[in-house]
Amino acid sequence: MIKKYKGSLGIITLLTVTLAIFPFINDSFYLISILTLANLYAVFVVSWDIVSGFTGKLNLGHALFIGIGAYSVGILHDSLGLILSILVGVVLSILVAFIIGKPTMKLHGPFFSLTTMVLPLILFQLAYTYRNLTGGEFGLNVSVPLSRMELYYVTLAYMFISVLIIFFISRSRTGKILLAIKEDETACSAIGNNVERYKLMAFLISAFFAGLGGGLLALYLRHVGPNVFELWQSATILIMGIVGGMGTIIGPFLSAYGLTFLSEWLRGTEEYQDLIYAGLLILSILILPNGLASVGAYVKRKFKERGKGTDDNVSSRELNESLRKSESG
Amino acid sequence: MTMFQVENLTKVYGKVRAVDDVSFSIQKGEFVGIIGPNGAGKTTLFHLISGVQPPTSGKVILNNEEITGKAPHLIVQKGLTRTFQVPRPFQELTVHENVEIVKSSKLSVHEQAKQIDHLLQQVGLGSRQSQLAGSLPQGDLRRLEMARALATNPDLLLLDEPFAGLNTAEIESLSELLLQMHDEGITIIIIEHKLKALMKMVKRVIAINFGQLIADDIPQEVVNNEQVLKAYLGDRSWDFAYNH
Repeated sequence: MIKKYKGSLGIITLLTVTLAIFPFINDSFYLISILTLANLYAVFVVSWDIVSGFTGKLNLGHALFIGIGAYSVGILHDSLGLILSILVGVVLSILVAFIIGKPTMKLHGPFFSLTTMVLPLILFQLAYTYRNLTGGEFGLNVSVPLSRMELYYVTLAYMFISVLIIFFISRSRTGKILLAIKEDETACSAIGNNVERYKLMAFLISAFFAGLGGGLLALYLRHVGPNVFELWQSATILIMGIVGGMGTIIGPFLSAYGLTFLSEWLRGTEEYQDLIYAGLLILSILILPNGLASVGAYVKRKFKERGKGTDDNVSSRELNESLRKSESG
Repeated sequence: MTMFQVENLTKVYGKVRAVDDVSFSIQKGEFVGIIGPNGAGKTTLFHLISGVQPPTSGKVILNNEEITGKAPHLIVQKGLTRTFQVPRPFQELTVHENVEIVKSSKLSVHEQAKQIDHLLQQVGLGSRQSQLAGSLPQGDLRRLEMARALATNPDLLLLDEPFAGLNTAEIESLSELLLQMHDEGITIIIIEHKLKALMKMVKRVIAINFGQLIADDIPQEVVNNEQVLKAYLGDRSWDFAYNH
């Protein structure tokens, strides 16, 4: 399997090694801080992609699990310690995913997406309401017994392990079944697969990694507040996933790093930041509907068209075929 | 031995009785054809049997176990598999992967993986295993549909117009495959409009019209049945289909 996917594995490993070495070349507090956040977003987006990109069930509220993980640490880290509070966050995220996913995965239509969009907004309000527990609008401070550099390497390890696990799942028989579900649930069921079980399993895996990352996010921010549930948090992940290329894992993985830096770069523009982000999303859909992961195949195709003088659009099938070829080296 | 029974199966959409009180039974090892004009309810009957749609009333019994309204994947695990009128390949997966993700009713994933190459060779797709299913021509899509169905190791196979869109040579080739499958012990029910090809394979024909079973007999009796003739009377496609 490693030999077969050496392209994507190579990119993941190379980036991880580069990031591991980076502080020895440049230990700028600012850059390390952004990279720590990018490590977390890489896992948030990849864990989002295994559901939304692979099963076709669009999760519009991935912030839900991130927030649950973050608040678990915020509320419990003093009494239970960091590791246990992170674990509680993971368990709660999985439990919530099960409660949401079990009934909604069976339904056709937008019910799953609508439910995932609404629930973080509800928790956003609850965080304000139960201020004795959550600190209300002020949130909770999190004392972190790790230095910035130690936290950087913790998130790097979390990123590497999580992305590898999700990547191997995506390329396994299970991943192929998820892709089949996205294409045609009825046909997938008609060849003996319990479609609801696979969709739910993907959602639980997604919640696991997002909940874990949420706990680490609380450590990074040294604080957790209601804004962790904001719609923009989920929208950012959605944009990263779409720009990167849904259903590829490697595309969203790379776009998480790219767009985290872009977001920092745009911070100075303030009121234009959201506009630029939205514009980027629209542009990427128009120019690269299959995301950055297909850029290699797109460029190759455009050179071919110039030679032939045609202007055919690249079919998603051709892009995927090209992606598979480049992936297997 | 009665292997499969449909009892008073009915499906109502508003005022339309798409399947109307249909009952029949199938013995193990039979090869049965289902015929009827377009819109007669044949495919809907398959949907009700295979769990794609729940019936309004009635029962479906397989090997003495009621499977009415069960989820399609559970019915497959009981040994009943169906193919679709229009092939439904997973276009973004290769031919090999399309079969790889099938869940057999009898074999483990590991045991099944060993069979894939043999299955694809059997249906004539051995050389196209790494090709994306979305790029296959119509005839090969039918073969892929067959390979996926066979990979479930069914006891009873429901085929919905497997010859649609195929030329004479392809029909001949596919017919041979179906007869081979039947010889290997699979009980088959086949819906077909290509009556000449169908009559060469089956020993029994069920005719459906307006959702109702109007005939159930040997092929020669069914094609001369007054109700069956009336169902096709005035429809030139009946005459064309029978002579081609």
